[in-house]
Amino acid sequence: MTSASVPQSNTTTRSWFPRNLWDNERAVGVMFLLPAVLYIVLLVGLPFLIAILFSVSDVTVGDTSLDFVGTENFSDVATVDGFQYALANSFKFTIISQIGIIIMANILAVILTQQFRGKWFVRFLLILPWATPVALGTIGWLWFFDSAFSPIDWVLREVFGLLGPGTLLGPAKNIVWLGKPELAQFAVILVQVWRMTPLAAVILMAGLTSIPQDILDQAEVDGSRFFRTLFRVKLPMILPIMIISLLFSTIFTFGDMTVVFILTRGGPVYYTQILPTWSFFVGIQGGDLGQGAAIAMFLFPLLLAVAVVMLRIARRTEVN
Amino acid sequence: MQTAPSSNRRIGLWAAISFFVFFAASPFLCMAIMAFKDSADLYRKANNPFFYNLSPTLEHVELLFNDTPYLLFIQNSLLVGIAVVIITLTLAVPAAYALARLTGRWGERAGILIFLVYLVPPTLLFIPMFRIIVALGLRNNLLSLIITYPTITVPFCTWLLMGFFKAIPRELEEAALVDGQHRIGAFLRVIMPLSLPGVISVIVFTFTLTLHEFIYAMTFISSSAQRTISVGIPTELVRGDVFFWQSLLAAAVIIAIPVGLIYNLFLNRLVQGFTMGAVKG
Amino acid sequence: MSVVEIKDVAKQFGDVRAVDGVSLQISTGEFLVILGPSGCGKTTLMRLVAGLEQPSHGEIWIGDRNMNGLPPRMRQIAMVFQSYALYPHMSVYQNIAFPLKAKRQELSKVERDEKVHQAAAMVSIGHLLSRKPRQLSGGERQRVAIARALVTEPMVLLLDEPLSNLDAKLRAAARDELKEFQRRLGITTIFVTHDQVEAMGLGDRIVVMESGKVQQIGTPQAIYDDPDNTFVATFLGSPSMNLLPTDHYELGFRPEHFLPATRVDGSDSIKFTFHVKRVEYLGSDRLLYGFVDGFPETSLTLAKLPISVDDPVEVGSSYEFAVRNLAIKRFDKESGLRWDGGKS
Repeated sequence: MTSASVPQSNTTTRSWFPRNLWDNERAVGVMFLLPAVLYIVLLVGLPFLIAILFSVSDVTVGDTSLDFVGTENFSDVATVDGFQYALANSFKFTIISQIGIIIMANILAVILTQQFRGKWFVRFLLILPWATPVALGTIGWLWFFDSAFSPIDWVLREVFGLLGPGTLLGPAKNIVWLGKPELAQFAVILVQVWRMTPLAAVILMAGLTSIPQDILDQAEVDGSRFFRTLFRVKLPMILPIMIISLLFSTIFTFGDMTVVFILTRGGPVYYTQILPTWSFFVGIQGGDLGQGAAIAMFLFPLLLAVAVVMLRIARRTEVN
Repeated sequence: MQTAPSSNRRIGLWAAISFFVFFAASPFLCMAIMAFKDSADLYRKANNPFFYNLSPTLEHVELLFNDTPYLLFIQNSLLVGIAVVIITLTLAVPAAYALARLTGRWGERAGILIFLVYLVPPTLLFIPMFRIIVALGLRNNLLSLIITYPTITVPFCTWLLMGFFKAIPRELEEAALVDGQHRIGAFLRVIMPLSLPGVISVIVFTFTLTLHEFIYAMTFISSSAQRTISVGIPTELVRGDVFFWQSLLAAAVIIAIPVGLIYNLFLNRLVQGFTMGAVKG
Repeated sequence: MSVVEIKDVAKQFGDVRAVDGVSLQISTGEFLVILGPSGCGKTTLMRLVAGLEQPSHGEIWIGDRNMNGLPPRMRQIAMVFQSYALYPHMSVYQNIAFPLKAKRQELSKVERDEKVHQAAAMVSIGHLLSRKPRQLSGGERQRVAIARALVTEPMVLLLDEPLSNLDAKLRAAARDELKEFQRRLGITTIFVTHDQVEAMGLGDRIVVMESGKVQQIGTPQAIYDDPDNTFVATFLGSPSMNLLPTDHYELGFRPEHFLPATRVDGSDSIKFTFHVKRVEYLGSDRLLYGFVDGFPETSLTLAKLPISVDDPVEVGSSYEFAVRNLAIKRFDKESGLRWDGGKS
C-alpha cells in the first residue's frame, strides 16, 4: 500500500469520480430514476400527446391517417345531447358520491379503530366491496336493481307493502330502478359509494391511528368525551389525509366507466351517460377515435384543477 | 353514572357496525344465496329471494366452471397481476429511493411531477393506447395489459414508497456505507428490509388495481381466452340480453371471499403503509 | 507517525462554507477530540474523513493513501453515529457481523463467528447477541455500536457524539469505559463533541472549531490555560473566562483565579475592587457575580471561590480581589487574538 499505487487526484476538483460506479451517489440516482422516467415518458407522455393529436384530427378505426381538423371534433362532440348529459353527469355523480364516501368512510374508519369483539370478521365483511373487482360487484347490484326480480322490490312489496297496486309506491309491481332517470342516477352513485368507501376508510384509518396517544390522553384529561374528541381533535387532525383521500377517490370516480358501463350503459337514453363511457361508445364502439379522444380531453381541465389543489395541499403540509 | 355512557356507546357502536355490515356485505350474502338457486325458484316474482323455495342446486356453479373459461380468467388475472406487481416494484422502488434520497431538492420536484402523472386516468389514454397496442401487434395478448397497467400503478407506488424511504433515518444508511457497503448494497441490505410494509402496500394496491381494471382490458382484448376476470365474466355470462344470473353472482362471490380474506390479513400493514407513505410523505 | 492527515480541507454546501481550510495531523493511537458549538463544522469534518462527504478542496490521507474520491467502505475506518444507527431488523450478532461480511470476506464463517464473540465480549455484551436493538437500553446500544465499529479492526475509529444520547449518570461511566478501551486497544480515534467536559476528559489533544475553522489545537491543559483567542477562552471553562475591555486590549482571567487579595501572592498580581451583586452556593464552590472598579457595570465579572476560601462575602459590599499576573491573558480588541502570542 504505497501512495504510488493510487491514482493522483486533483486537489481542487469539486466533482469527483469514484473508482466504482456503485459508490457514486449521482450515478446511482440517475440509474435508479431512469427506468421509471423512461417508462412514464413512453407510456404516459407519448399516449397523452397522441390523445391531443387525435382530438384535433379526423382519425377513425377504419382510416388511420391523421388529417388536421382543428377544433372540429370538439365542436362536433359538444353539440350532441349525449355529450352534454355526459359532462353534467360526470360532475354530478362525482361530487355527490364524494360527499357520500367521505361521510361514510369517516364513520367506518372511526368504527374500525375501536376495540370490539369479532372485529376481525367485521373488518373482513366491511372490506368485501373493495376486494371484489368493480365489474363483478356491479353485476351483483345489477341484479338487485333488476326490472322484474329485484330483491329490493320484493322487500318493499312483500315485507313493507309499499309496492304494487293500491300502495304508496304502486300501482306497478316493480320500481324499475334503472329505467327511470333519477333512480338510475341514484343507483350509479350508490354503487360508487358502496365500492369506494372501504378504500377511503382504510386511508382515514391510517390517519386516525397516527394521532399521538398523548393528544388523546390530554383530551381525556381535559374532560372531552367521545364525540367531542372525535369532532374537535381527531377529525381536524386528520384533515390533510382526508383531503388526500378525497382527491384520490375523486380521480378514481371521475375517471371510472365500469359502474355506468355495466349498470346502465348510460341509459335510460343519455341520463346516466358520463364522459368516460361516452368517449368509449364514440371512440371505440363508434370507431371515431378523433371524437372519442376529444371527449376524453374534457376530463383534463378538472384533473388539472385537482392537481393544483393537490400541490397547494402538499405545500401547506410541508410548512407544518 | 359511570357505566351509562359507556354502555350507550356500546349500543351506538354496534348499531353503526350493523348498518355498515348490512350496507357492505348483505349484497354478498344475497349473491351467495342466489348462486345456488334453481332458475324456477329465482325467476318467480312472488318467491322470497332470500330463501330457497326449491331445493338449492349446484347446476349454475358447475356451469361456471365447466362451460365458461372461469378458471382461465382467474389464471389470466393472476398472471397479469403478478407480472404487473413485479414490473411496478422494479420501476417504483428504485425511483422512489432515488427521489427520496439521492437527488436532493431536485428530487422533491420530480416526485410531485411523478405523482401528477397519477392524475391522468386510463379513460384519457385508452384511445391512443389502443392505437399503440394495435401498432405493436399486441391486441388480444395479455402483454398489452402487462405493459400498460404499470402506467397507473408506478406513479402512485413511487409516491407511496418515497414516504417510506424518507422515514428511514439517514444514519442507518451511512452506517452501512461505513460498514463496507456500496450504495446499492446499503439499499438492498438495510433500506429494503426496513421498507417491507411499504412494499406490501404496493403489492396489495397494484394487485387490486389490475384485478379491478376494466377499460384497458375491454379495449385491448376481445378474444375470450385472453380475458381477465373483470371483463371475462360479464362478457361470457351475458349473452345479448340473456343473463346467466346465478353463475354471474357465483363468479363474483367466489372471487370476493378469498381476496377479502387476504386483504384483511394485510390490512394492518396496509394502514401502516399509508401512515408512513401518505402521512409522512 | 501520523495516521490521518487533513490537508487544507474545505467543504462548501451551496453558499455555506461548512469546513474552511482545515489542516490536521493525527498520530497513531491518539485520541483526538474535535470540540465546537453546533454548526461549527466539526461533524462535517468527521464525515469528510469517513468519506460520507467529499471535500470541495484539499486532501485527506489515511495511512499513506490519498482518500479523495474513495467511498467510506475503502477507507479502513469505522464510525459510531450519534444515534448508534443499529440496524433494527438485525439481531445484535448480525449487527456486529455485518461489517465483517462486507469488509473481511476472506474470513471463514468460524473465524467471523469468533471475531463477533470477541468484539461482543470486549464491551461485555456477550449475553445480548440474540436480542434485537429495540430490546436494548441506551447504554447497551452504545456498546453494540462500538463492538460493530471495532470488529473490523479499523485504522481509525470515528465517534460522532456517541455519549449525547445517554443520561448523565451513564454518560460519566461510558466516558471512562471509552477511554479505557481506546487506551487498551491503542486505536487512533477521532471524537466529535460539543461537550467541553467530555473533550477535556477524553482527548489527548483537542481541536477547537468555530465557523468551519480550527481555532486552536492542543492538549486539554494547553487549550484551557493558554487560549489562543477569545472564542476558545470563553468556550471552554464553566463559568467562562472574564473579559474586561480596556483601552487597548481585552483583559481575560478565569473566575477561579479571581480571589480575595489576601489569598493571592501580592508581589506578582493585579488588584481590583470587586463589587459583589449576587452569591451562588454550589456546594463545593461559591460563585460571586459583580463588577470591578474602572470597568463599566455591565461587564459582569465572576469569581469562583473554592470551599477552602471561606472569607465572608456579603451581597452589596466591595472587596479587594486580585489575579496573579501569570493567570492574566490579553486579547486584541479587534481580532480577539492573544496579544502576547499565547505565551504568558
